[in-house]
Amino acid sequence: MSTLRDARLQKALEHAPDAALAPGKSVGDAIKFEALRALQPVAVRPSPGRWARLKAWWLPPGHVPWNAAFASLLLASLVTLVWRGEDTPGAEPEALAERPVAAAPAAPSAPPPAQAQVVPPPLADAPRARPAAPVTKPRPTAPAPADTMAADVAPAVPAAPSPPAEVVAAVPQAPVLRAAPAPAAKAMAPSLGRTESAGAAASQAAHAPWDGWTALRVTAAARTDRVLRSASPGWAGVVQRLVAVAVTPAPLEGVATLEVELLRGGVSLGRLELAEPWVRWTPTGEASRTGQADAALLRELRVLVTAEPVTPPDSAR
Amino acid sequence: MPDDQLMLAYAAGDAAAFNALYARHEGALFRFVRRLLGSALVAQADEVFQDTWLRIVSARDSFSPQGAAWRTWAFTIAHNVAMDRLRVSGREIGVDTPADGSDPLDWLQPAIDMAHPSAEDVAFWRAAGQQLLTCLDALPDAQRAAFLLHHEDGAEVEDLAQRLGLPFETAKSRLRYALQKLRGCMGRYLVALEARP
Repeated sequence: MSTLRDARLQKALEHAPDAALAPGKSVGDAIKFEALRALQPVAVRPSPGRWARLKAWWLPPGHVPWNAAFASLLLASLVTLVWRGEDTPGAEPEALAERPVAAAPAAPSAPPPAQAQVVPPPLADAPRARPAAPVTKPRPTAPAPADTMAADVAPAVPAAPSPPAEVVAAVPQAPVLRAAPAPAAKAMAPSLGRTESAGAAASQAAHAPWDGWTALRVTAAARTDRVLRSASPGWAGVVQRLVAVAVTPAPLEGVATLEVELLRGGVSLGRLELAEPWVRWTPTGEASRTGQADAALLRELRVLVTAEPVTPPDSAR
Repeated sequence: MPDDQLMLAYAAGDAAAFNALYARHEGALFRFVRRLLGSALVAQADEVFQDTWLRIVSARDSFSPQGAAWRTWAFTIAHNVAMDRLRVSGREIGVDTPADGSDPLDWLQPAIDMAHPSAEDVAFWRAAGQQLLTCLDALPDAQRAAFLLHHEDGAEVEDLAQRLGLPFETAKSRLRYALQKLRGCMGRYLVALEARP
């Protein structure tokens, strides 16, 4: 064995100031603790807690998505139950489905409940109308000027306040509670022949259910024709104005010379009868109303009846 | 009970055997680690010392009395842990350069001459030891390790070469360089030591 040991350095090393140094007691305790712990058998892992079990159920080791499938099934069942009472939306042109449904005048002072009715919205609008329900709640709004005029003419009829602008704007999504057309129209048309009130009524009528007509059955001079709305767009405005002037629940004076029936999907939405200058409008299932059309409107109507191309009944939709 | 038997007893589950081993070698291992780290890393001596013992605990099943003695085995572990720490700290430098006649510790000589205590001082030994620690601190890490293993752990050169994974001649040269530098650094202390009984 080789050695290069230097006795002098060895001796100096033994007497160095750090010869008596020792590690801290905490270090020694930690070392002994670790040495003792290393001898302990591996402790049994404690049973997982409630949340750990829930997590293990939710995220199984293999990540088999049974839980996701189960959740999807639950969601589908819920949607089915919620939808059960609703009608199935039918096939309808998109333009018609998105058309405004009805004016929804909120009526805190509206006439008795008998005059208000629940009108089913277009079927395609049903799902969309549901979220906007709060908009149609009756609001104590200030009466519109038209109401004031209505009070002058027909004080016995309680005036329904005109809908606030925000309500009218939200009508396409609103559900369905609306005032009966007759009193509302009466309130908005205090006198026959007043153009401004007729215009207001026409504006309101533009949102009526019957405005969703797709064809007309025009009977004049013992001849009946069908007119498609898409083929004769001029009819829409004239029909609206005719309906708008018919606001009085009175019988038609004279013999009707022209009859226009509004159709949608083969179903009659209402009937207009003309005994110049009087017009009677009878919405399906509602009372008739009568009014006087002005000369310009009658001229336009005559032009349409005589000049508009008509579609043979068989080819009409 | 010999160290090897204590270690085997500990590996078999006898915690008291470990405590006996620890008490027996606590101071020597701590000094060795502290001196090997040097003054620059003396603050990490406790941590390195603890790491050394934890490695001993972890390797209890691999200890074999047919190999090196327990003390040699433990000092080798301490040496490796300390050298790793020195390597991380960037202190380690190459050491196996041949002597070219210029002693890197020459600059220490004036300071040592000025600080020489009297040989009659009762604290002479302590001062010599302190000087040696200062000189050790100036050595390259590998040379310091070789010196400490040889002088403190008592390893022979062949054993030193085996533990450091070096050829015998390389280990011998490393040790010789260390001694040469330390002797130069100790200066008059060595003369005084020779004169003392």
